[in-house]
Amino acid sequence: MGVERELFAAFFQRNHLAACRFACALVGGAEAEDAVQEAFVRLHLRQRRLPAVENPEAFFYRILYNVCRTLLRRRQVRTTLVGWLGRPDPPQPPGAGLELSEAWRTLSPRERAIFYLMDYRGWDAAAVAAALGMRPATVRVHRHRLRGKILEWEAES
Amino acid sequence: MNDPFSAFAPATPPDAMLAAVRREAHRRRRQRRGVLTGVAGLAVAAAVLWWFRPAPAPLPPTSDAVLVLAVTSGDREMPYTLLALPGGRTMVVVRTAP
Repeated sequence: MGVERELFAAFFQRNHLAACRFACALVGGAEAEDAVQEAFVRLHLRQRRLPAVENPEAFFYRILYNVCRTLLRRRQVRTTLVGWLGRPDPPQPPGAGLELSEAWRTLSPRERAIFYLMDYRGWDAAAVAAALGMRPATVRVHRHRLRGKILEWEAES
Repeated sequence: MNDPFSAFAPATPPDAMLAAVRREAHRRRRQRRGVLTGVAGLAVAAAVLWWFRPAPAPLPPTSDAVLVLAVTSGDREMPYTLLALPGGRTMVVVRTAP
């Protein structure tokens, strides 16, 4: 139990900041910390499995990616309901921090995750595929499509 | 490429978040254990109730419509049935040839 506790604490310290930035890239600054905390809670509930996992980072990022997708889905439902009810958007929490740019918003969560992990973090397609639960070939196809979009943005800006 | 999200700094210090994560995980473990205990208790209670269930009630007497005998009708024997009706009355049902 103590070993697991130490392992988890070390894993947390090693990945906390990077996970926050990854979540920020997916859901924005306002909910990034909530997503990261939820992902770490779920990892804590599975911490006995952690030593046996081949790639703990990929395991954790899969959890975080799923949490972020759930948050985005909920946000979409909330926005739809607010639109139907004709009420104004609820105010953003203070200190929301970094928000997503318009160009970044046009990407799907999967594309954001792939782009972020491959281009900003330097992961290879196999690691990204393990983290996001898809095949490396699929990751490469997404990456190839993304390259076209990014070239368009650069041309526009 | 430079990470544009590297400017993001979480408002919660890591130690505080780690403590919150542990607290929340323990709370969920307790909650899950409680649910599992409740389900197991219900299963045991159901098993005990089934094991000690009362004996089934005896079937009602079958004297309502039972008697089938041969009776003379002219020069033939016909089967008939006696039906007990409410109020102590009895009806005789005779099956005739087509």
